[in-house]
Amino acid sequence: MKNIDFSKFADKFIDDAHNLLNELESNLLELEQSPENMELIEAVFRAMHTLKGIGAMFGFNIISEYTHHLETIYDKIRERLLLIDHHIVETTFNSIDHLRNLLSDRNLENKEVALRHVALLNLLSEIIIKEPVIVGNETESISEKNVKISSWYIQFVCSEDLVKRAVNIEFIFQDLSKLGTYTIFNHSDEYNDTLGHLEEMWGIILSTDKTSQDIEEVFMFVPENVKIIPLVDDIPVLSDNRKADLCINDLASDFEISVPEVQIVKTDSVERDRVTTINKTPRISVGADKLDKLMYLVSELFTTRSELLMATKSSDLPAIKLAVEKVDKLSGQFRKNALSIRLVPLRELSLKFKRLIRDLSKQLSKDIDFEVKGDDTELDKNLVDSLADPLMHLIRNCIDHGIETPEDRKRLKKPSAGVIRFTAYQSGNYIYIQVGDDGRGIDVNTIRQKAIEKRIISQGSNLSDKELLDLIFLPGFSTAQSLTQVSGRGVGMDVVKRSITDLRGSIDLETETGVGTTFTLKLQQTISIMDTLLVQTGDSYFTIILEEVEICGLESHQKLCERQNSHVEVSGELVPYISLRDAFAIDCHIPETERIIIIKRQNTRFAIVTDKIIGQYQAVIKPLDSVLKTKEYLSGASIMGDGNIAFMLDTWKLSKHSHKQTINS
Amino acid sequence: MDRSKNKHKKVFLSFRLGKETFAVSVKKVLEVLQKQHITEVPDVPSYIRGVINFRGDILPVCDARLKFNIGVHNGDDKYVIIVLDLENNNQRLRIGAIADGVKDVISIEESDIKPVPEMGLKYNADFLIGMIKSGDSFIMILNVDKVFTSEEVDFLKNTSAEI
Repeated sequence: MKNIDFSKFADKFIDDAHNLLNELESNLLELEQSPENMELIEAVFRAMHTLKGIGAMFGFNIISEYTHHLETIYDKIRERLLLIDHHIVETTFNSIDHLRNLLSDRNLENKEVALRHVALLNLLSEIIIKEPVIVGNETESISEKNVKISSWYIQFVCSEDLVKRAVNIEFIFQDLSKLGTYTIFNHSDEYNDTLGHLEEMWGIILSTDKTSQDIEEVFMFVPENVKIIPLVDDIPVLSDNRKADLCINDLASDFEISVPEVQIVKTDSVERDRVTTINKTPRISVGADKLDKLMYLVSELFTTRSELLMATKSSDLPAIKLAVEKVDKLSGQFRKNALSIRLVPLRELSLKFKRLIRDLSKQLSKDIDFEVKGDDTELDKNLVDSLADPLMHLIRNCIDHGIETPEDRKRLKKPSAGVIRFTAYQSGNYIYIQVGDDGRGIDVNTIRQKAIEKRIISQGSNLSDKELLDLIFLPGFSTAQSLTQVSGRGVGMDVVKRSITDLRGSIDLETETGVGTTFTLKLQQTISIMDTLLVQTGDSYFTIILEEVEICGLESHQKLCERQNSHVEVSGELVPYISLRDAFAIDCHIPETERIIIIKRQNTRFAIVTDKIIGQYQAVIKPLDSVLKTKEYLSGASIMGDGNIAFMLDTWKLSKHSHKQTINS
Repeated sequence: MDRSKNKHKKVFLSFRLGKETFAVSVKKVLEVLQKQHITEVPDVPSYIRGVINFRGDILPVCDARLKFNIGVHNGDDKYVIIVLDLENNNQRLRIGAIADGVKDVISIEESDIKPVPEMGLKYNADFLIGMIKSGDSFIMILNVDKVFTSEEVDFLKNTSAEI
């Protein structure tokens, strides 16, 4: 029993710990820039302190113990007994990485991790035993003057539940003692009469200069076991037991009645505190499965909405029409809102990159400034997660291949520090993310040579610069002259490109020799609901992403058949076409006039021929089952209002597919 | 199927397929749907009849007759779609199977399930869990996890792949 409960909470802990470590890392990066910033030092210290506390509670003792040493260092820095220096920062960064490893290997089973653990602990203790630096203590006396002591009555119930959850009560009291002086009274006897099932109940009187929020933080893991009630502000410390007893007895008489009110007031003030201090809407974290469920319901609602619209189309009752209109509007807003819940800012990524760039610039001894713009741009959570690796790869490439060594830069009269730019913005329904550098740029001639060497193109082939640049996205193409530890192992740009196209996005690059290279990613903000063009061939319905459609037109069937080579003429250009009827062997009546849809993707065009264009359609995309996955040119399906199912065409794969077919036949 | 729990009663759904009667564990059955419009999917193996909207998801529907080689289903015939919840390599898979009709829900003692004879059976024994005697005939209990997830292997022994 105990184990099951425990592991459940352990997952939560690992989650929390990762968040704490991320926070720690980003604060540390800033601290490295401004080592005198006391606020940052406090923030770093706090994160370590919390990590230590919760680590011990959930039995991650090694993490707790390790963090304890780190905390000691930062406590000393905080107290100005130790000056922060390069060595300390470096060790802390390494510690953060190590702690991340420990989260998945909490008992040091991996030998490498264990060795590292010992090495790092030695480093830490070296720092700790360093001679204290006296920096002066005027700050302390100032803070003492402003102390406003208030007293709190805390009712703490230690139930069986706490024991089962393996909460370490000792830590709670340790933390409490850091807030101020406290006295504990055992009330178990009194309360056992009224609420027989209670195990232990303590009354605590705490006098402190901290806010209720700080006190709550101490009890953050046992909020349901604790009631915090403010006593009179500005009273002298209750050192005398008798006095305290009086207070408590007073309270105890009307305790049951007064508590709920007090609690409401308390949470309100805490809420306000939070809003003013952090200036941010409070966030709650929700399991991804709940969001998925919500999205599923939204899409169901959307399907039903179309059903309703269709069913009431011919209705003459104005009351119904009105109601349907409202439902239509509301479901639209509901969908928008639900989608926005899944959106998260890109900041999560930019913080990761900050660290990567810091490490890489040290490793390759290149000076690099990281410029971030628009990292508050929001994107679907799943997209953000899947973008981390490809973007990381691009940045790595920029640093390794793009940015020159400081000596080279000096010779080229460039500022010695290279710049990596990370820019994100939204335009229409699309999110653009750019990763760029101000380095040497990509030389098309090198690419041409390389491509010829690798027999990707022939000696005499005449390719435009753009076409040559696109070659770097081919598998096995790497222009790095020598392999470095960082990049140039041949796997690379093709993987990046594939992962971006898998997300229904595209990647482009611009480069200028000597000025730099910029990669631009274009992505849908969310990929579950899309604007499409709905077409019909025979009894089958297909959707095409609206963005890919350039223009639609007509052509008589006969004319189409007379033409050779399956090409149609579009504004003076011959464009190959694919008839859905032929491609999918749909057996149906052939109409006199065919509808032609011109698809433009990047710079190539082709046409899709179908019976009928129904119109624009907002499709809720559902994945196709694995049985049908082999049909890769069908990228999904959506259920239409009348219950029919429309397949989404992956136009790109469709054009490749039918190309193959013609070769085969 | 856990054969160690001997005294447990097991519940099966039996259905008709041509002249034969088959059964699946009710634990694998999500729902039995009436005949409805099936959207054809272009360019798929013929035993996949198409897809339907099942609780908001796209559900592939396969024709059990074709899979078991019991003649082609006539479009006008009555049929039902048994929605199965399968497991394949730890992956869940939902699939609709077209049958001629459901017969009964039967509850039987584990010990009444007869092992599949090695000889004299026209079906691949891998796909059967066992048989139940019912009057003069036998009801064959399908190992649906295997039958509907294997695309390549034929249900019938010694026949070349017609799918």
